[in-house]
Amino acid sequence: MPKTTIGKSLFLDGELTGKDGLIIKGKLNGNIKVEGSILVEKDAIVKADIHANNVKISGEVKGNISSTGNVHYMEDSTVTGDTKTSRILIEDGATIKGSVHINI
Amino acid sequence: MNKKVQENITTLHKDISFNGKLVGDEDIIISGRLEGVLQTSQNLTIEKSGIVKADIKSINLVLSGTLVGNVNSKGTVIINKSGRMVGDIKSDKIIINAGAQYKGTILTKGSSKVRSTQKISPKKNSRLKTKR
Repeated sequence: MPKTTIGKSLFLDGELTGKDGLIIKGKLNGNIKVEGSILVEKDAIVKADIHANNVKISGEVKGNISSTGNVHYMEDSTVTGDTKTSRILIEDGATIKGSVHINI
Repeated sequence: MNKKVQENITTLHKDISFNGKLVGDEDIIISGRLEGVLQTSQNLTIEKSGIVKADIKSINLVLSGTLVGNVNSKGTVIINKSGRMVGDIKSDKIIINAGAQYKGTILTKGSSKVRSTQKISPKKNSRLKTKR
């Protein structure tokens, strides 16, 4: 489990980088570049390009996602943007608008 | 209980750095790097490994790491012995522990009273002027 958590009431505007994973419960605008995994929780709103290893989304994301591992769009997720990954799992109910590139 | 407490805490871990504006209504713990603006209506803790270059608004602030920037606190500011800070502090209560490094100006509630007495003195001058 990643130790870095962006809480529900938080609003971040800027660039987030690092080697660790992330859990986002709040709002974030900008850019995310991490080497760990990212979990965007149900009520979170992320307007950012995401570069990470594993990406799991249950909230709302506007931006391009590029992953070196797995991408998992859960049933409550809303994603607007392109996805680049080697493995993807899209659950029933997920809302997606954008192109998907697998195996790059 | 512990889980509930954890839900309302935001943490920036050691290997994470953030550049920009962070605004929130909950406790924040920073062990990583942060540059920009940091505002919370709750408590802020900067851990030993934390490096913050930001203007800060919070209730209580506990500093064990490095901070460059001005602090506006409504509660207590505590700088621990491992803490280093450059910047101004505006707070009601300030504790700087032995071993801490600090450079800056401190403004407490008491000092604002001093200011108000200073404001009275120019009035006396104006009276003198009228006599002349």
